[in-house]
Amino acid sequence: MSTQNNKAHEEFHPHVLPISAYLGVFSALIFFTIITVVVAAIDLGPFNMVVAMLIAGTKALLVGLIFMHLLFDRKLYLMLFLVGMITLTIFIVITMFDTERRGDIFPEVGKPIKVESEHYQAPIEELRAKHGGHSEHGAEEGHGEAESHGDNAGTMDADDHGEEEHESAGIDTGHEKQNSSNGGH
Amino acid sequence: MEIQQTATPPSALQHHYSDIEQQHDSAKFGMWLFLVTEILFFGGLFCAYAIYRSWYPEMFHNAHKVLSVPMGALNTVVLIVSSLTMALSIRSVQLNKSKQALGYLIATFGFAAVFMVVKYFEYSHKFHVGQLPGKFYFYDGIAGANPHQFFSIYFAMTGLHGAHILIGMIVMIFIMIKLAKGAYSPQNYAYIENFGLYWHLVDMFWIFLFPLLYLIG
Repeated sequence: MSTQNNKAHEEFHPHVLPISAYLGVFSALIFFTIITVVVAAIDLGPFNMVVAMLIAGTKALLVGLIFMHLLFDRKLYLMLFLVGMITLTIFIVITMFDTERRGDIFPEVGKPIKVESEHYQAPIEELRAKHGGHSEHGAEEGHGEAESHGDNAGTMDADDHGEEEHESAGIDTGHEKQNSSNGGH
Repeated sequence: MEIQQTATPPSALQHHYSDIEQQHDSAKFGMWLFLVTEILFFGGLFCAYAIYRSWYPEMFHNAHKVLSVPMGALNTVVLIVSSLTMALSIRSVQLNKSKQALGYLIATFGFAAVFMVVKYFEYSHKFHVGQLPGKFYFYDGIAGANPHQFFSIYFAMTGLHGAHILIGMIVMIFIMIKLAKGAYSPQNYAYIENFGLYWHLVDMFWIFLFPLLYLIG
């Protein structure tokens, strides 16, 4: 209603940016693209990820604020955009609390499933050799053995750097629901 | 109400809005709601990427090397240029230059087509050598566990992105026809502006996909 009262006699004027603003953002985006390719070629260890995401975030911010007019439009749209981004961040972080820490408390929980699936036939032979060929059915192992097997499987998920043996065991991780109760004994 | 309706072209203002600005804002608000669902739609795949990357860091590192950085970088530049021409097209409509806007939009369409052609060459190469998702994977040359997982994620993410580009190109054809008919004016351009928002968001996704998949794997 207020809109009607206040603007009854006003015309609608679009907010037009100068062409230099668009060209400036465009140049910055191209510049950042070159930077991110160059930096990725240098080995910074884990900081490669940080730098790449910072650059990508800056580029996305430029696109959002200028190309998508978030800076000049109603702040409602900016808020909506941020709500989407924050929801996504929460979603990813909480999911990774789970996937990164599986098997920390109950090793059985971190144990992979689908060990026998067709795609993993070759690596499975290695896995069997390593564990003394007893893992015919992962879910039906004796308790003592299951414990030690579970330990290995747990580390496979959480920190598998340099553990080629385990990695090549190559398994889709997930849970046996029944096993999680085993782990607590 | 009566004054408003006579002051603006009758076709531009729908009867259930009090003025043209309210109509414009409503359309834009709806578009932003849709864009938020798009962020979450792609977000699930970004989450999958994060999980599998942390589970198999070495495999991801080895697998990302088979992607062609020059082709990815070329596509990044192509999409950024298309975003620029899209923004300029909307600017031209705001200034009531429909012909100029149509030119910019055709350029945007052209760059989108270039993007898809580059993508086609990348995809056909991968199909040829067997860098395929899941059980279709038969490439032999990536060390580490579950390299097919990388390509599942690669094809899901770039495929969804490519589908968005294709849908965008189809919508662009309709906008071109309307532009050629002179259907948009500075009083009535919410449709093309909202499409621009969609296009920039698709560009934004690629800005993240390019480093994640091609550069740091």
